[in-house]
Amino acid sequence: MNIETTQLPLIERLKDYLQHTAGGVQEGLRLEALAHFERLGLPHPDLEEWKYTNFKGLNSLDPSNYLPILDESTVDISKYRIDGIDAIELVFINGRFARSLSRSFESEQMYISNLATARNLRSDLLNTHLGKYAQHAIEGLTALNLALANDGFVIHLTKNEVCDRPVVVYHISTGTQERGWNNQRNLVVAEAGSKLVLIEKYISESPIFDNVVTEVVVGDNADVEHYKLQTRYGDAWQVGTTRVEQGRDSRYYNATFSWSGQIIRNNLQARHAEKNCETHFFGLYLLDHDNVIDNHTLVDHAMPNCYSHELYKGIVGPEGKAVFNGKVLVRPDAQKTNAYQSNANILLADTGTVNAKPELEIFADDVKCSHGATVGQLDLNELFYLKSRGIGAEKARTILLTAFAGEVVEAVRIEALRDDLMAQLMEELQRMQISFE
Amino acid sequence: MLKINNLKASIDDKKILNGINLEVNPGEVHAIMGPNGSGKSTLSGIIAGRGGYEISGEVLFNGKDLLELAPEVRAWEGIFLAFQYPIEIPGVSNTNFMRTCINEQRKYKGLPDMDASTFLKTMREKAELVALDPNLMKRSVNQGFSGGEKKRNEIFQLAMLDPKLAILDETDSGLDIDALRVVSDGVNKLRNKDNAFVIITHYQRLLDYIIPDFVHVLLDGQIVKSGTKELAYELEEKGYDWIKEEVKAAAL
Repeated sequence: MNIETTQLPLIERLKDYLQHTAGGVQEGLRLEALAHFERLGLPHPDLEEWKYTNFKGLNSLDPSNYLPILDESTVDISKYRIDGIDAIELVFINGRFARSLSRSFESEQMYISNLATARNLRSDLLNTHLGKYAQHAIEGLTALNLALANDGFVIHLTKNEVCDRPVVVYHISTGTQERGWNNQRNLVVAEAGSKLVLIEKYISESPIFDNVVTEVVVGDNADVEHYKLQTRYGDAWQVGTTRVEQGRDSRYYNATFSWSGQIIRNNLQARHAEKNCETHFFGLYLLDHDNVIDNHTLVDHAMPNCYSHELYKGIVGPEGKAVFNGKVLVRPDAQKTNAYQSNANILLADTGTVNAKPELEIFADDVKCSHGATVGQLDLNELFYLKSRGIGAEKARTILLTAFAGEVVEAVRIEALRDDLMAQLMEELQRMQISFE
Repeated sequence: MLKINNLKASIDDKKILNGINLEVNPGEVHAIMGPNGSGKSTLSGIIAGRGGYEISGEVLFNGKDLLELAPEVRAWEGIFLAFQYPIEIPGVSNTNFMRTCINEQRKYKGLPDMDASTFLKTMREKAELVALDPNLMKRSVNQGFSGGEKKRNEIFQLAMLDPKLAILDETDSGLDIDALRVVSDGVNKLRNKDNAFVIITHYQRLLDYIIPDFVHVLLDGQIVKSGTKELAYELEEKGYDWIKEEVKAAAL
C-alpha cells in the first residue's frame, strides 16, 4: 500500500488499522500513543533533534505495511550466529517472533520470550512497565511504535536471578525487495540483584525501516550488559531508541557497533532514578558512500553519587555522514556526579562529514564533568613513523585505523564476541580502504 | 653508500637546507652537529622520506635515487631513522609491530615470513642488547614508555631491522647518563664494516661513547666545517659562535 495513492490521511488509516488489529500493547495505551503521534508527527529536519539526519523516504512508507510473514523453515540463521557463544537465542523474522528458530526460556524466575506471548502470560509485567520509560509523549516515532507494535522481545529476571548465558536476539529482515516498516517493541526488566548479558544483532537481507523501541529497567544493584550490533545491516534504515531506567547501585553497560545500514539513528538514553548508579556507553561507527549514522545519547543524572562514562569513535570515508550528539544532564539533586564523555572521529576524505555535538547541562554545583570531541585525519607523523619502519602506506593506514577503532572493540567483555567484531572490523576497514584508494 | 649532492629543501618558501654535500661509506660513523634550527632534523627526515618539503638536489643510496622512493621502500633498501620523538601507537603491541615490519621487509626481498621461534629468539636477543624490559614487548608501541624506554625501543627496532644506514636523530636528548651508556653500547655492538651510522646531535656528550670517524657542523642549512672527533671537543669547549665568525669572515 502506498500512501500517495490512498485517499484517507495517514492518521485516519492508522486508526482504522488499530481497530482491526490486535497489537502487543494494551488498547488504551495504543490509543493514547496514537494521539501523541497525531500531535508530534514524523521527524523532519526542521526539528533541532533531527537537523542532520533526514529520512527522506519516510513519508511515503506506510507504517502499517509490515514486511511479509515468512515460513520460518526457509530461513537459515546459522550464518549469522556468533561462534563460540552458548546463548539463549531469540529470532525475529521481519519483526515477528520465529519460535521454531528460537531457544527461548521460561521459568518462574526467568522469562525470556516475545511480546505477543507475554501479553497473555505476563500481563502484570507489561502493565507495570511497558510504555512507562520511553518518551512517547515527546518523540513521534516512539509514540507510533507504541501504537503499532505487535511483537518484540521480553526479558524478565526476578530478584537475584543471574542469567548465566547471554541472550542473543537476532532481528532479520528478508524475503522482499520493497522497503517495509517494522515497529518492534522490546522490554527488559532486570529486578534487584539480577544480572543479564544481552546481545542484539540486526541483520538485513531486505530493505527495512526498523522503528525499534527498547525499554530496559535495571533494578537496585542489578547489572545489565547490552550490545547492539548493526554490522550486517545492508541497506536498512533504523531509528532505534533504547531507554534505560536505573535503580539504586545499578550498573548498565552498553556498546553499539554500526558499520552498515543506509540511515541509522540510535537514541540511547539512561536515567538515574536512584543514587549511586553506574553507566557506560561505548560506540563505534564506520561509514562511507552516502550512509548516515547518527548516535544521540543522553545520560540523565537525576540523583546524587552517580557515575557515567561515554566513549564514541567513528571513521568516516568519502560521502559518509556521521552525527554524534551526546547530552549529559546533571539535575540539581545530582551532587557528586562524575561524568565523562569523549567522541573522536577520523575523516578519511574531504567529502565525509561529521557533526559532533557534546552537550553538557549542569544544574548541580558539586560535580566532576568533562567532555571532548575531536574530528581529524590520520596523523601524518604517525603514518611516517610506520612507513619509515617498512610498512607500506595502505597497511600503515589499516594499522592506525584498527588501533583507533580497536579501543572500542576492547570494551566488549565477551571474548568470542570481541574476536568476531575484531575480524569484522578488519574486513570493513579493508573495504573502506579500497574505496578510499 | 650515501651520496648527497647540493641538497636544498624548503617548507612554505622558508629555506631550511641550502646545498648539503655529504658522502658516507660502509663502516663509517658520521656525526652531524649544529645549533637548534640549523636543519639537522630536516636532513634526517628527508633521507628517510618525510613529506612536506620542496626538495632539489640529489640523494643517492647505493646508486639509487632515494628521493624517488617511498619511505617504506627506503626502509626495505636499508635505511633506518631513529626518531627524536618516537610515536606512540595505542592498540598495536610492540611484538606485532616488529613482526609486521620484519615480514614486510622480507617480502620485499622475496623471503618467506620469519618463523615464530626465530622471531621470538631474535626479539629476546635484541631487547637484551639495549636492556629493554621484555614486558614492554606486549605493550602498545611506546605507549606509556618513559623517555629513556622510547629511545631504547628505537635502538631495539634498529637492531631488529639491521639497516645498512642508520640515522640517529638526537637519540641522546632526554637520556640520563646510564641510559646514554646503554644506548651507546647497543649501537657500538651493531657497528660493522658493512653498515654506517649518521648521528645527529646537539651535544658532544654522546660522541664520548660512540666515537665518530667524521664530524660535520651544520649551520643555516649548510655543512660549514668537517673534521674528526677533535672538532666535537672543540665545539663543546667553545660553542658554535667561533664557527659562525669563521664562516662570516670567509664570506667577506
